Amino acid sequence: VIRLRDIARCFDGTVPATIATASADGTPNVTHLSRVHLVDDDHVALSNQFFSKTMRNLAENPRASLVLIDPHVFDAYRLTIEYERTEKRGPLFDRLHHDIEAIAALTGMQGVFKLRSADVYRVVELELATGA
Amino acid sequence: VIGTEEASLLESGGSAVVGTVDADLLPDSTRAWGVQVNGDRLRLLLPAASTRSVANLRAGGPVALTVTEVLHLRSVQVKGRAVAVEEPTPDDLRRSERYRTEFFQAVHDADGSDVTLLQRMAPDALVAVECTIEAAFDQTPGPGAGRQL
Repeated sequence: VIRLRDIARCFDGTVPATIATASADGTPNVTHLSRVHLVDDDHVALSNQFFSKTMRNLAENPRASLVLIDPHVFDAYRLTIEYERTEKRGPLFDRLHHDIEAIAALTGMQGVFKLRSADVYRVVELELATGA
Repeated sequence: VIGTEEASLLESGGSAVVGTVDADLLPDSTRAWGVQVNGDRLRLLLPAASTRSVANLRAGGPVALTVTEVLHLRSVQVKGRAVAVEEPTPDDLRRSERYRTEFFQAVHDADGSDVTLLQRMAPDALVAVECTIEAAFDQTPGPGAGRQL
């Protein structure tokens, strides 16, 4: 069994992740994410910055498929996640806020990215997906 | 639905990711290892081992494809529906080989990643998926992401 802590390197933001969601009418959406945050052994967090299609879909249909890449050996891991809660203050929110500020500074886009919330998802499935 | 610039980006060595969904609205994500645009049709080369996505597409399900330039992050998403899942042709396999070379080189140029290690990401076997193109979106990161083209 693979645990989230076993793939901690996937959460360092080196290699963008992928997230696929679907609207209530069954239309998929897929995009890259600059970073997924490890919360604990059962949860990950995503930053909600814009009311994007990904976030609109997750409000309608709370499950998503994430692919994370290990930046050292390029193994891929596929996670099925389900929305659990939103945090608008506190240590997790602050961690994501600082991360966004750092990315904005690096890309010269200060003021463009503003964290609305830290959205926490329960990981319901985690599998090795290298080559798949 | 898409112009020549978008078609060129879709067929480039950018990072190509695919979203599908099953009848219970469970999404699945995988990578494309070669894309061909033929008018209002797409031909995607997907890992045969991506069993959920391949099953979703064999059922004629909807599909989303996003391709992002590795260095500049310019990005486009197209959406449509699968119409056929087939064995790849020799042309498909050559296209996939060309895509891998360009994609891995782009990643190497962007962050210095070792190309030999990057090759571990590549699938052993492919399937070819014919899809319609029904809508296209600017997916370049930022507040304008998701604007329909």
